[in-house]
Amino acid sequence: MEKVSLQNVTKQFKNELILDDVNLTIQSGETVGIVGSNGSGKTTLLRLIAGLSYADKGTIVTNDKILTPGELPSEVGILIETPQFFKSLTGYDNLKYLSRIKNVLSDEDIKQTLTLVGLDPTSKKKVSTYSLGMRQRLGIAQAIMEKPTLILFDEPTNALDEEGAATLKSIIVNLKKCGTSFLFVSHSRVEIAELCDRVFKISSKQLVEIND
Amino acid sequence: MFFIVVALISRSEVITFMYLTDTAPENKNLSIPDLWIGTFSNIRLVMYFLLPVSFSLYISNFLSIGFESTMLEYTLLRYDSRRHYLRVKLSGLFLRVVFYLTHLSLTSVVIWVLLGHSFALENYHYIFTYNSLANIPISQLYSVFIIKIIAGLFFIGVINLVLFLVTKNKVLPMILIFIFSFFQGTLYLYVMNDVLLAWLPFSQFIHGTTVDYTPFGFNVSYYSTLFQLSYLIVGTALAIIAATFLFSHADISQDKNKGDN
Repeated sequence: MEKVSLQNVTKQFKNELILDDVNLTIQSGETVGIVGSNGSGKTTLLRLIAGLSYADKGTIVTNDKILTPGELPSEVGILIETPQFFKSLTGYDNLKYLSRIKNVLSDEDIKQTLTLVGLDPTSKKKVSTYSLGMRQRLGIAQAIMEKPTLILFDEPTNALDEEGAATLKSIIVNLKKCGTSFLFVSHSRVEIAELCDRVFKISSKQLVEIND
Repeated sequence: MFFIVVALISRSEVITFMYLTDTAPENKNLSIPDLWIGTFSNIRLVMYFLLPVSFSLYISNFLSIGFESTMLEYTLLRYDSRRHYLRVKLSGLFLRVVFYLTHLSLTSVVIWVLLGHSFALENYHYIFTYNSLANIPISQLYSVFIIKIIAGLFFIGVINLVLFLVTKNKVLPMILIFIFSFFQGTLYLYVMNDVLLAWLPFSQFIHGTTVDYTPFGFNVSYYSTLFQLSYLIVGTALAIIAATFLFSHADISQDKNKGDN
């Protein structure tokens, strides 16, 4: 079953071509990596798949939903760019705020997710006092907490120490066993190759599969 | 603090208006109902200016929450569609209209009571006088007032939302509302063209301007409660359609100037 399907997708931004006739499929349970230099269009691709932006040409289907303007895919978790939260709230309160939208998590579920990513669920520290690494962990927590079937990670190991990176890898391995599909975006192939079933490179605004 | 200031200014404006127009006996202490009804009929400062501008300020954080950070992305993906998100946003806006009106009314009543006004049954404002001539129940009068103010504030709120989605700036909508309020107030004071004033958006939630209250209202034959409510309903619907279109097609990105990382 296809989780993601991009067909002939083109995206422009302010008259600048970002992606040109891109095709990609991600199967259920598959992990795909996309590498590219800064400004190559990696994050734009992620945003298109998440419904945060819409293609100028072509078709995008994410979790069986055709993403036309206004539509959003279901059961998708995302960690994009440097995570920012409500600074005056604690990590737990930020997750609680987000969880109220779908309302499928208990307080215990949220605490367990925080513990899983290496954060203290009982901490009263406001996010404004968090280090970059802690915010990254909180970002990962919000992406995985409702157990989405597709997770989109943009530079997931940013600001993580060795322990944090190992924790993330462990989380991903366990979620993969449950059938979760992943799309990683990174500037470093080394960082994601180990976890990915397939790796693509953005070159000249197009997607090219890298075969070892 | 701001509501206290509005209460004090509106009291002063209403008293001045009623004594200048000889609608209240000399040295008569106006009642709380006179002041409340008078406040929400006060074109010169309160309804054309203070209310629209203060309400824009009141809702600015609510409208922009999450937009300055990745919280919008995290929030949005938990909804079924962008329209769903917008429906929830508009429901929240409606609640804030009710909170604002309640907060303003209660604060005003407390201030007026402290200044010595009572809930006397004798009411002198021209709206009460005209209503008694027409034998319209007081409860109906208050209902019409409240419905129009709520509808009007909601309309202003949706306009703010549209301006925010267009400008992508939290402060600019308030400035634009300020400018337009100033413009409408200036038109009222210096142009006094009733037909023009009857078609301006910030006139539509002021019950005391309808043709039923001539010479105090606008002398425009079709400018009735039905006209005002129709204007507000159509205006709000158009603004919601505009907001839906803008938000449905928006590229959600932290930095709108960058194409990509």
